[in-house]
Amino acid sequence: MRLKRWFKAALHRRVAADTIQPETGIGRCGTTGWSEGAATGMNKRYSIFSLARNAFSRHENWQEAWRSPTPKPRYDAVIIGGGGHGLATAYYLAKQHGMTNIAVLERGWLGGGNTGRNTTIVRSNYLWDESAALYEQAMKLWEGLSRELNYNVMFSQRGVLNLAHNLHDLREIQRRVNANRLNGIDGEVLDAQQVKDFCPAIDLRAGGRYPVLGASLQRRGGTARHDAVAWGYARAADALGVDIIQECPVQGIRVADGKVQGVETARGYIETNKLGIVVAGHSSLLAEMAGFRLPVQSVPLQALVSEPVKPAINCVVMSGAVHAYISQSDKGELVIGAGVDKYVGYGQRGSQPVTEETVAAICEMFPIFRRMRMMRQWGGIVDVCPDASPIISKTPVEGIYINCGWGTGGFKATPGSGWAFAHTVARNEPHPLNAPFTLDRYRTGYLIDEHGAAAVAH
Amino acid sequence: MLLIDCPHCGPRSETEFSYGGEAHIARPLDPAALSDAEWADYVFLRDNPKGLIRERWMHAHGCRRWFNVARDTVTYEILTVYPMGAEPPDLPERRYP
Amino acid sequence: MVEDFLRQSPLSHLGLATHARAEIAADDGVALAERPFRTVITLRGPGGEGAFASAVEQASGLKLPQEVGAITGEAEGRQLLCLGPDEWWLCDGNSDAESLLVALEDELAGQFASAVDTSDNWFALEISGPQATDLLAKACPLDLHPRSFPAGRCARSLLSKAPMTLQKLDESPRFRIHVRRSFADYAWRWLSDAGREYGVSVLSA
Repeated sequence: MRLKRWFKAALHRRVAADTIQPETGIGRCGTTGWSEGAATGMNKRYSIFSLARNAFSRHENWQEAWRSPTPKPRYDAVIIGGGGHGLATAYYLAKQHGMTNIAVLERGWLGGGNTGRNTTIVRSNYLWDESAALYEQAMKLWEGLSRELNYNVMFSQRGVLNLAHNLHDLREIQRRVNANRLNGIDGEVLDAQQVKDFCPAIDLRAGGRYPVLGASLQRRGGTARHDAVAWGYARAADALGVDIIQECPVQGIRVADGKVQGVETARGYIETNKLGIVVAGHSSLLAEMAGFRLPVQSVPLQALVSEPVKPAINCVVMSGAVHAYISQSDKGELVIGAGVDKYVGYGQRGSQPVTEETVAAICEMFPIFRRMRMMRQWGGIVDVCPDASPIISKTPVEGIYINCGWGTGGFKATPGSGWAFAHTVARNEPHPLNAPFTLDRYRTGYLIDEHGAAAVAH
Repeated sequence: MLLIDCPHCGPRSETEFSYGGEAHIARPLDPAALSDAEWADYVFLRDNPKGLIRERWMHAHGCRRWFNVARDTVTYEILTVYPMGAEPPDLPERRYP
Repeated sequence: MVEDFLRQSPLSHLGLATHARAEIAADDGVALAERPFRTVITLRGPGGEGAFASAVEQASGLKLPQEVGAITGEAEGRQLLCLGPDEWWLCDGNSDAESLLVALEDELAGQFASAVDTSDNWFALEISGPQATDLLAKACPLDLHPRSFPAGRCARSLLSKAPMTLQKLDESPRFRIHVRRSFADYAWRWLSDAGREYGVSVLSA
């Protein structure tokens, strides 16, 4: 059993490494070997047998993971945004709702936006019932995702600690854990010693500046391989017939009589009656093309990774109070997340004082990492709602649906977000899970204020 | 990092300032007369341009004065700084795709 | 006002007097000294050469500086610091706040202005020595080059995470920093720690 798991993991790592080079943009998929327009639904399953079979040809004949089709003139539904959320939406539209004549339009390459820029943390310990239900749905999908997609998303439930540095944090944590447990979500309150036992690398004194008094722990939380999530959904959606079209920025949205007619793209006009917008930081721009406004502000959220080292930290540690969170990737790099810039911006780098503050906090909490060298730093543009909760909703334009406002916490929700959004697009009405996350709530006053549980303050 | 040209103190680091969001939003004179939707627009809707933005800043760790800034949200270039209450300066619109 | 014998420096728990020196040690790059009981009166009023300026000048004997960052007066004696377009500090190392306040209130009577004794809110320390500028540059984002921050200038800024009011007293160089009294321990320890690479002397208060 263990051997099988190892093989499977090795296989998917190999496939991932072979087919996509995220740093250089479009992967090799669809550009070499496999002919365009090949029949859909033909993806070979990954298994130990396919691994063995391909070993005979030195792994040089692996099938492309997805096609690169030419856009058709008309689709039943078009999803703008080829990140995790958009691809998941397309997958569930095809899988759950039988809509296979659909396209995903991506302006760059798959998972090249926030999907490839986050710190890969997955948890569902949100305070309010509405968010808890939505994120827990995502968590349940995460737990079966590799099997469902036949693609190893390297989901690792290593536990997520949310630290308390003062009495207020402790009380907030107790309140949140109680709320989580009432909602059937696992959660524990740890005292300082239990934190140290669970995560020995931490210094509870934290230089006296950020003393650790306790933490909440969600054992089912953890990390996943962010690129693999995009690739896994893309491959599975493609297998169901979804056209994934990269390097295809949307330049305009045609609306007539309050109904969507289609989208102008760099690769021509595409007609459709259902348009899903899932573009994170660029949501305002797309909404403007369609003629409505969104209550979101776009700001860079940044992260950085260190040189790879041997396993040193066995869980995810987050601290909302000091805007720092850290985990270690399977490659051995420390993955460090920082806070958001305090002003509107579209620069995918983030402000230097934010980096400095985060690294200072990490050095205080984890003195063993003080001499680590950082290899890369970057930013992703997150769209933040006034109540730090997302919008998954119909819009003033008939046939246009919006999924945005995930702020700093979108990655963890990827499967649940796509699942609920697909329902909304297919049925033209929200699922009960996302019904509270409407665009209208700012008018009605039914806000879902998750500033406290959103780990990184908005 | 931004170097913001405070009208009173000269160029200073962004860490000394606090951010006030979109400028030139007029508080409704008679809030009670507004519909819920109009009130929500006033409270929650803000410009989020990819390009030229006019926004408010306050030199919190300096002279503690509010002022307006016109800035490019992509290049982060500060185009001009002007006093509170002044008409927005006439600048060429900047939009990025 | 607190009786003199009850006054305590917010750094009294550090026992600085036990290792304080008269002047900086030969191999140290930086010297720190506390100046705990300086008088600070916060003045608010309209800028310009009007009634407010002349009232302040009458009461304090100093010309009201009009440019933010400018100082009038003597470093060791009485000073007026311009901190904002309508905000000044009247500082004094010798006279107590009460007599100054009485004089100011007399002169400012009937004007839209205020004078408030904030001495007990503030704690002052001084940084001197050949590497004082280097040390301070670690803590604050100001351009401290003599070209842009010469002696006789002041600025409000940040000392790491603590808001501060900074003055450059002379080009030796010597700086005076006011932080809130509750930040005194933080500021002192921060500077002592950051100054270790240069060597830090503690000068007597």
